[in-house]
Amino acid sequence: MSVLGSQEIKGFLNRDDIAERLVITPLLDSNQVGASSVDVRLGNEFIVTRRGGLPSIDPTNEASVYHQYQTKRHVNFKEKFYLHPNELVLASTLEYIRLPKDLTAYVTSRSSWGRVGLVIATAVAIAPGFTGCITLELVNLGEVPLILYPGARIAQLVIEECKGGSQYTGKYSCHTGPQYANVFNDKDMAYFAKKRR
Amino acid sequence: MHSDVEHLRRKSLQLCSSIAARFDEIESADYPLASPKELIVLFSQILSAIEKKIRIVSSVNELVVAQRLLEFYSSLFQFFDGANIERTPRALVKTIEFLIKVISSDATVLPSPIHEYNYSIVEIGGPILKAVEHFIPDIQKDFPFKGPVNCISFPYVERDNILMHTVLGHEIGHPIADEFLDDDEESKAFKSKQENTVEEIRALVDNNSPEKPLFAFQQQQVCLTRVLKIRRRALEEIISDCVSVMLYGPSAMFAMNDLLSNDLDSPPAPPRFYPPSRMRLRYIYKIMCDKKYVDTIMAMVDKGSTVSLCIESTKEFLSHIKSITETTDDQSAVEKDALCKIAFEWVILSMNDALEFLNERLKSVNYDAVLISNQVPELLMRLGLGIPPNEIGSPDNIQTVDWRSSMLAGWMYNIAGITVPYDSNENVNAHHHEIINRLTMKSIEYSLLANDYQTNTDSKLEET
Repeated sequence: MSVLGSQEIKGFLNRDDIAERLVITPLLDSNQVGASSVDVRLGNEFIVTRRGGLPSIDPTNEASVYHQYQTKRHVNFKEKFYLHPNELVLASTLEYIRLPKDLTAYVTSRSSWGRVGLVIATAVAIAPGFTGCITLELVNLGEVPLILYPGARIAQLVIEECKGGSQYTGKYSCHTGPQYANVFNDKDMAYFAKKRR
Repeated sequence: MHSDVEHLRRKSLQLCSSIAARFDEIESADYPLASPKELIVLFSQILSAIEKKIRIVSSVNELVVAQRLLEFYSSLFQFFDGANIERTPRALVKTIEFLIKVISSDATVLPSPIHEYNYSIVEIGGPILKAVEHFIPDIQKDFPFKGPVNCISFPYVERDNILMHTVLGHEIGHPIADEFLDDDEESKAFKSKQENTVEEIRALVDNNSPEKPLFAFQQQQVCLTRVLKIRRRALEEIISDCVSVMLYGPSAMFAMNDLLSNDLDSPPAPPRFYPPSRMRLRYIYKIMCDKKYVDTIMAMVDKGSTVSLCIESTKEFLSHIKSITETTDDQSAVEKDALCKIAFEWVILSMNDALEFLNERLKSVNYDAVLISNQVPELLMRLGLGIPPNEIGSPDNIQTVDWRSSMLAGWMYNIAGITVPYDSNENVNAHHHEIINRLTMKSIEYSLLANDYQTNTDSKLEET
């Protein structure tokens, strides 16, 4: 499957039937649709690490509730969020996205941010039919703190056609902000983690 | 050597220091509006003025006054504790600020959650000034808030239930109701009606105790006070209800119905003297008809499955509320008490003037019924697909909607009791209700952002 160019992206955005449409909302500036990607902006919510009493995250241990380890922070537009060197925070796209069943996408850094050390996402694939804001895993690999502004164009969405896709109904559907890790819910984790006698 | 003055001074200074420490804590939080930090700056200035005064006064009385003042200040923390951005949704705050500013441009608003299950509005600017004017005579001229400072509280448990927040339209209505009633009580018509009421009460009291004229006079005064109290309270509540519907549209009626429908016919009782809920719903429904909201919804037709389910359920719901308002059990309950009967006959007369006043006062911010038919069907379709109801059209011809249409779409979807995203094979549960709220809240944020972005980028382009 090939990556969609700007005309094709616009075609999917303007499909008559909203159920079949590529939805990216709000698209504040039509220039966000680039030659072969769509620029997406940074949302207002951040999930940051709490320096608490949790020694580690064990995906088999449901007692390792993520609230003990992470907490949400909201930053207004026109205000700053400081991302320190080597710090991981979860954020999300400002835009709410709905991919039709015949599209898949991946989210990637914009080169301008990459050059100052910001890594945008480590889990980049977005399933066909996904509906929601995309969680971004932000890491500052640079030497100095980075100041992030909610609303800034921070990542890009590269979109591809997909054959035989089905509606995504997974655990990250219809969310409007970044989501906590959900590794505890993987069904076969117990099988791989439990020692046999 | 023990001295009352020095002991009190030390105690007051300790309290000053504790309050200052709490101010520092709450100042470090992030808030969705500028108002909490502006208020904290003001309070800190007042606090340091009080502290200076405490250091120099020499009488026990003055120190006692200072101590009381400090206790009053510490009670204000309740309005700041939950006002930070983590605990007060931005969409809620921005919509309240928008409405209050339209109604009174110099007003300041401070929304915050409270643990009690209650929605309320408290003006704190006046009490702050009054509390310190004798102690700090210069405060009046330096007071930075020229209009009312309204603390708006909502139940903490309902924080994320954006649909219920339309109840806050009622709270916004209270200062408007006071505005009407304060003017009304100065009018000739009021004074003349009051004289008639005195006559009615006199006849009533004379009939009950004709042989004791002095006692009868006293009784008349008590009865008149009661009638005036019942009338004022009823008008305060009913006018505020009408404001909420005019501002928020049908969503306000749906939310008010949730609050009021458990007890429809209780007559006014001390100490609060609330009017019967059925009577309130009757006026709410009247505004729904006057503003053409009912006609517009009743005329909506859609063949698409999700939208049509929502429209038909809402029509049924409207019919249900209409039937509630057509029953007159509340009036029978009121008429059992002679004073209530007098008060409510007066309420009905006064409501004509009140509605005229409201139509003029709110004409620039009324929710327009045309938006229901133009915007809501497509917004319902978006909700059915799990998309926030913030805009209509396609990117080539996009239109950001009025955020009140988003709220109405959320309500209509909620009334239909279907899943989101819509799936006819799945049963609705609390999780779906949570998604509706989440998407509605997001759509309000998006609408406000899109309008602000458009305005600011347009004006920026004009400048260059």
